[in-house]
Amino acid sequence: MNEIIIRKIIPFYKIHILLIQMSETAREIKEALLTLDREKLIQTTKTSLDKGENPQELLSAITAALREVGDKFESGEFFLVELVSAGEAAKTVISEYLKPVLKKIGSEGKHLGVIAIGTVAGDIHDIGKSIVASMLFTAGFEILDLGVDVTVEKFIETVKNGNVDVVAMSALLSTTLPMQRETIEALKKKDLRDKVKVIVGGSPVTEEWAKEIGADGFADNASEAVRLVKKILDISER
Amino acid sequence: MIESPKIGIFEIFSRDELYRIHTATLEVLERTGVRVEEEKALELLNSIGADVNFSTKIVKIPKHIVEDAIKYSARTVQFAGRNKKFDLKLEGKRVNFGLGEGAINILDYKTGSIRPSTKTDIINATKLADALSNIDFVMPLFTAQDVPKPVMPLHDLHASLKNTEKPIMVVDFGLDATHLINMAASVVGGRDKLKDRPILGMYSEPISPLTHGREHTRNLIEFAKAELPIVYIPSPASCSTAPATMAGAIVQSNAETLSGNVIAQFSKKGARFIYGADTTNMDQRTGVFSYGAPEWMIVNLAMAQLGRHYELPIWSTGGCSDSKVLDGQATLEASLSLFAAASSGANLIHDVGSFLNFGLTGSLELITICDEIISMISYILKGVEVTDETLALDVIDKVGPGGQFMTQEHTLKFFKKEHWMPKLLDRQTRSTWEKTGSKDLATRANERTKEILAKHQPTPLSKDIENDLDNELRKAEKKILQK
Ligand code: B12
Repeated sequence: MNEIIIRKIIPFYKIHILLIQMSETAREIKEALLTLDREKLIQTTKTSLDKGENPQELLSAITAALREVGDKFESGEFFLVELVSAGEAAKTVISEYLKPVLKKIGSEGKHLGVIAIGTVAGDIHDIGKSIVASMLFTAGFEILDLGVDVTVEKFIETVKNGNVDVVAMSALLSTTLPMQRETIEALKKKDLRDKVKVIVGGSPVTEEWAKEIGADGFADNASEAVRLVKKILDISER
Repeated sequence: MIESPKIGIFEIFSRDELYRIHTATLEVLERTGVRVEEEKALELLNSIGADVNFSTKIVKIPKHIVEDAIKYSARTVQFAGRNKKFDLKLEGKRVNFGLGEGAINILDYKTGSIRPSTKTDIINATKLADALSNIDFVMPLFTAQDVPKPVMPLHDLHASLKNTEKPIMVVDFGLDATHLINMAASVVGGRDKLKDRPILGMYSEPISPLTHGREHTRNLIEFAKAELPIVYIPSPASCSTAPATMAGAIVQSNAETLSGNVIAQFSKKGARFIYGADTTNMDQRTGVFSYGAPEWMIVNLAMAQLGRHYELPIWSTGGCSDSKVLDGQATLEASLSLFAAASSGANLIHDVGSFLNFGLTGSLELITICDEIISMISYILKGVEVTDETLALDVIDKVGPGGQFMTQEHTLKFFKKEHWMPKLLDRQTRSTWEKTGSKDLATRANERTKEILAKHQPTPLSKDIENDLDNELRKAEKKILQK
């Protein structure tokens, strides 16, 4: 589909030049993300969009660069604030510059799936949740971050209204842990449980708890969370 | 308890730096302000002249209000034990130690494995703390995972009240604090008596950065009015919920606890507010909130110096670890943090010997080990007594070059007083150590813990009082579970 769009907008003879430019753009995007140069990332995106480069390709370039950031974090070369900041910069560029253009040409932008994530009602611990969200985003998922103190109703509403693939719930307190069960029960009641996968996490959460409440999975850190989501969504790509 | 003029000598700020931290804190409160989610507190702050925006809930607090609140604060906080013998006076250079709180797992001393904690585990930890002479106050080290979750904090307190005569500090968990106060009141004969015999203190936290959550603020006011000790301490992690620079993290922490004090003091002048911060760093590889970090230790030193400057009783942390097991890392982190906190001169040092795994796992053996560490630290902090007699000139002259001191009267007179004797640390020769089973520290701590738990019987509540307490628990349970 992308190729068709490109051909529609751009004459054939220009494609070759554009491809060269594209790899140049991809290189710049990668450099901007890896050096956490937010301004440069925005500038590069803007300039290439103005030049008529394909937004879908730009998105792919950002996704690829993000994946490299993720790999560097996994290998210990990058640290957490660098991972989160790169993710944040990419998110801004995608939502403020790429998405509007993509929408215009009727494309959604590729992602691996939509994840609605939040910390359950009564609980305001958000560091772990945000790190998990950031890692999932870096890995190529679209994130709906519902924030903290998220009620059962809010989770339900989000699932009803959006094309959510996975509901991810964080809980850090023994006293708020039961909200994970309640949300799952409510999803069942509204006949929404089969529409989504549900994963849970947070320091008091265990494998057994996840099983007991009928979640589809549990992870005790962000990298595991990415592996988990890929597993339950059957995403074979690394 | 340690009391010594040597305490608090290790200060990290110069006078000038201290002043800058203070003025920077005032600037944060006046320029940025704090968010206050409790309506009653917003009104209170508005009525005393703070700049309150009721729609954003942002409150900007002028300097003079913050400083007035410091002036109103109790200089000395009495924290009572069920038995007077365990009363603590929180002031000056008196350092006291107590357990950690809130763990969800126990490193089981019977099996050596980790499992969810129960009410029985709280009872055992409390009994152990009741028996150990270097533990001065008790927190429910564990949370009871075997009771209905909404009433869990009540059971945590219930188990504590029954099993120790030492002062008790509990976490509010955002639960209506009235229930906790009523339970403690039933033990001392009513709410009024509780003011004179404040056997219960509350530990609660603002939400960093710069937010006072609804339930926690409500409880802060409730405890201030009940004239009970309040520990209202922020718990940010530098790089995530506080600035990356330690000075910035300290300024923010200071603004958080001092604005809490404003709410407390203007709710009740002279509120028994205890000042401090549980500030650490976010580990850059895992994101964890590190309990063994040197950053936390230096914050302890900083906050103690500031607290002394404000003449407020000081809260601190030590005796905990990030390690998952009772190993070298656990004892190393526990020792260093205890030493930093004790030498800072803080009045209440919590998390003693309880915490592994970033505050998620409690270990009774670590409490036993920390009892020994504290005893060692007290020895060091007491310093060296210098008098004619201790300078020992006569006995030095008497023994002269080449003699020995073992049989001198001076030695017999002083050896006990002047020296520290281990209870748990090993000083046997290798062959005796091998003959007695080659036991490492963890094994010996395990044996000692079991021994204490088998022998020690905390003074029970009288039957009547116990009934009252049980009734109070049932009443509160009913009310909460019916909702
Ligand atoms: C920092 C902290 C706070 C901060 C939170 C700031 C913030 N903006 O988040 C503040 C100070 C505000 C706070 C408040 C309270 N806290 Co608190 N807090 C902590 C602490 C020390 C660290 C949490 C943290 O940030 N960890 C770092 C992150 C990276 O780790 P994480 O959250 O576990 O997340 C990782 C994994 O769990 C996983 N994960 C997380 N979520 C998810 C979700 C999914 C779907 C998946 C797959 C994976 C996943 O991946 C993450 C990344 O690796 C914990 C102790 C602990 N070790 O958990 C106590 C702790 C959770 N808090 C506790 C308590 C008691 C409270 C208070 C009630 C204290 C009080 N009296 O005021 C209040 C409650 C406020 C509320 N209503 O929620 C207790 C809970 C005890 C219990 N048995 O329930 C703990 C265990 C500390 C203790 N031992 O007492 N707290």
